[in-house]
Amino acid sequence: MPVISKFLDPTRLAHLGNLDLIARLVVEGYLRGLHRSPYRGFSVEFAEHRAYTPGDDPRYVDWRATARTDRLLVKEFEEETNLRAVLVLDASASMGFAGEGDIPKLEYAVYLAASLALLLLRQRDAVGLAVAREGLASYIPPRSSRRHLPALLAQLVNLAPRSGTDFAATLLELSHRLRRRALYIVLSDLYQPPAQIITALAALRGQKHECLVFHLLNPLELELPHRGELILKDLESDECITLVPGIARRDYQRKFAAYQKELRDGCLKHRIDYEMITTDTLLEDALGKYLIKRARLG
Amino acid sequence: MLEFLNPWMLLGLPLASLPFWLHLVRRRPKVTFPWPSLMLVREQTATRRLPTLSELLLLMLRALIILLLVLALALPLWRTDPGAPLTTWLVVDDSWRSSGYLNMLLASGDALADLLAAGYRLGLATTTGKVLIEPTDSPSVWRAGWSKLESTFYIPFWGKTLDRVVTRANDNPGGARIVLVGQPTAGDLSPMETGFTRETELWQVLPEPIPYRGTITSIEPAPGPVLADKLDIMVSGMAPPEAADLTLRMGGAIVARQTIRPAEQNFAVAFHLMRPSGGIKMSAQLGDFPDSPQTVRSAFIPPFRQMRVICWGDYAWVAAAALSALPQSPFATGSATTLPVDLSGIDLLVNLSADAIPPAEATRLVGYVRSGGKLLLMGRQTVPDGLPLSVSPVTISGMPIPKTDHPLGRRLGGVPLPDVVSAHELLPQGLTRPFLLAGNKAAGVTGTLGSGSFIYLALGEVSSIIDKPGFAALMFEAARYLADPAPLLSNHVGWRSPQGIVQEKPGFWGEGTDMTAINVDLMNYTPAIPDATTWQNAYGKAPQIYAWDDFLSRIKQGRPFSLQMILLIAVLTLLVGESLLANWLTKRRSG
Repeated sequence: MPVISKFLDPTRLAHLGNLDLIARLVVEGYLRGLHRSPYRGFSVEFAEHRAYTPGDDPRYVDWRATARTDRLLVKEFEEETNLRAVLVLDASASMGFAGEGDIPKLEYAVYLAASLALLLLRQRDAVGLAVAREGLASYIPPRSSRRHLPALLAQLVNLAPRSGTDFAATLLELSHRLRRRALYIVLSDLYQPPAQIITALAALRGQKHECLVFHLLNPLELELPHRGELILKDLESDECITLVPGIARRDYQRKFAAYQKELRDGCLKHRIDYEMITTDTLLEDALGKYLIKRARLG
Repeated sequence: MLEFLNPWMLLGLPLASLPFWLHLVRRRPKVTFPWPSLMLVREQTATRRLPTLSELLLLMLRALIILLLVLALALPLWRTDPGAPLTTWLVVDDSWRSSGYLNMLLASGDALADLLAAGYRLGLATTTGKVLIEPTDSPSVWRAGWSKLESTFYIPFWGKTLDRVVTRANDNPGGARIVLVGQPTAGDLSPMETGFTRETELWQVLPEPIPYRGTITSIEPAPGPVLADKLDIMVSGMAPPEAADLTLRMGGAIVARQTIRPAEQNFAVAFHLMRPSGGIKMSAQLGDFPDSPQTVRSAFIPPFRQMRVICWGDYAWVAAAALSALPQSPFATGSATTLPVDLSGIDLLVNLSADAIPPAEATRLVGYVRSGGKLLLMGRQTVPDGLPLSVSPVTISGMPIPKTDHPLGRRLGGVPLPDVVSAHELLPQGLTRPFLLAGNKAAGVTGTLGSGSFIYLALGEVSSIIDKPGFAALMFEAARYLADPAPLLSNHVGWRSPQGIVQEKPGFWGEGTDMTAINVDLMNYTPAIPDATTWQNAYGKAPQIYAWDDFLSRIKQGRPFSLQMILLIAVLTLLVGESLLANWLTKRRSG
């Protein structure tokens, strides 16, 4: 597990380059670390046999087939596709922010989205991808086919942070497109007035959609740890502000906490799962948060 | 009033603006840092970069530190008496008159040292012409110099001393205050000698009288022949205010006692004792104050020793006979026709025909005298060729003394010399320059060669006076003086005269001294104290006169208060504050 965890560090994964490989590494590594298969309870129809691998639940060993073939085989079940998930990825310029030695938030979001997509598809869930900038920049409807994965990854690989963001508007637009009940997995830094975000998410909830919000941030954004006098330049608007972090830090942190609390409380009010993730968080932790949500959905 | 000892340091005051300039010059360029969103920053109220109160305070602190440092280096003084000079010269009379009060002055050394402060300097000169301390503000230097102050047997040289002091005082940019400690006479303060100007600030301090118990100034063999079995001890000093016993001890045992009465003023008492076989310590005590160094004095009397005297040349046998004729003569005398080859071990050489000394002998005599040998020449005036004598008549009042017209000359000349003139009168003690005796047939010249070991007496034809009564005694005294001058040279107190013991210090007989009044003036010495008119005429103003204690308190009033230490302490305190504030600001900036 520690060895695998090492590879789940997003900074190390970034060196691999191949998003497909990264996604598989994340998902496989994560799943192998679990003692119990996440598939249990999701599927009831037998699909095929496969060779036993350490970590598989012994209950699923097909002893008859094992006796016939003299190989230890486990049964795999065909799962019912009852979940439609849409990965809503914020690709605005602010997502391009990275600290020294860190990966940008967008890159982290791409890894996470790719991993989630792989995981969803393995579960026979349908997964789609929506890219948000000032509006809905692109949209791939959810499908459950495994062949759908390359298309998703291709879209993810080519994402670059640019332009501003109106994430709330994007969510509202999405709610019009997808009538069927779905799980919206939001990956964004949510730099918009919390009331607007909550309003948009509430609208989704009003249409019986489930929402899981990953609030992606760089650790620097929480602390404002810089020294001396500097000019902060807004990545989206190019607006500049002269600032002495040492003087402004306390006030900034207070305001940030209030902003985050407003988001969390708003999500809680509308039964939306809210998770704040910093770019130094291991991807497996982020996946774990998703699976908890998935398990709750049944 | 605030003054600065180093006012040119104030040129550094503009440096106080240095922190502000550095602040402006060294402002670091702002770094532009990309930030995802200014949504939460834009609303900040403390984001704008304005100098905070703390930063302004830090800048002002730094400026203040430089300001105070520059002021401290400029040596600021706060003076309640701004016009008074910062340098004070004490001119202390340490002549023989000072013995009564000098101890009291010495006890004030610490009090004077405590006065010293930055820029407030004291110098010390004495009337014997010494500059003991150049103006200093160092207490240790002052104490070291002050402890050297001692009473001397000299007369005061106010004029010459003050001339030196005034010369130095004029070198001080701020001038100097000159404090005369003692009582100069009108003659001492001649403007030509002292160099005083009307601008010179003069104080005069009259030392306060101290409890006076009388003083013993000397105990020594009395003038007169040194005899083998008799010892005359003379004790001299100043009489006590009340009658007191003068006790004489020989080796601890009391051998004589005499009452000294106040009326005697200065006293000199001779005790006639039996000479002990060897040297012995004699001590005298006046009154019952054994702890007072002024009332107790002792001296070591060396054992009697016959001196080896060789007389040669014409009348050598006469001289030898005269020197050995007296009972218990101190001389072991021999005679020769020519100067002996070996002069070692001879205490005295006597010759009565100096004009007959051949050049070769004269050359040897010069070497003998220069190596410390004693030579007595008596006879004609003619000085033998080759003797490098600088004997010349003393000029009195700028004119040679007429041998017969001068009152002293008449007095000496009117009476046969040997009858009247004793060696003590011919040879004033402590005489340091040629001296002329005038007479009808005799002119005596005493002179010094080197350290006073040579006497030349020109008495006219020896053959005409050699049979006169007293000539032998005269020669005896001269020989005794030469052979063992110590008793006479150290006796500055009195000498025997036909009228008895003259009790007075001889002082210094310089040019301008009225020789006829020597005895009278010295016996009734009353210095002429300059009055206000004298001061006014000479200098335009009289000095401010203080008693010693008043002087100490008065001079303390003029002491400037140095602000340098206060400023330096303030600088150190501000430095600590600056360091704390700077650290706090740095931590605050870096969060």
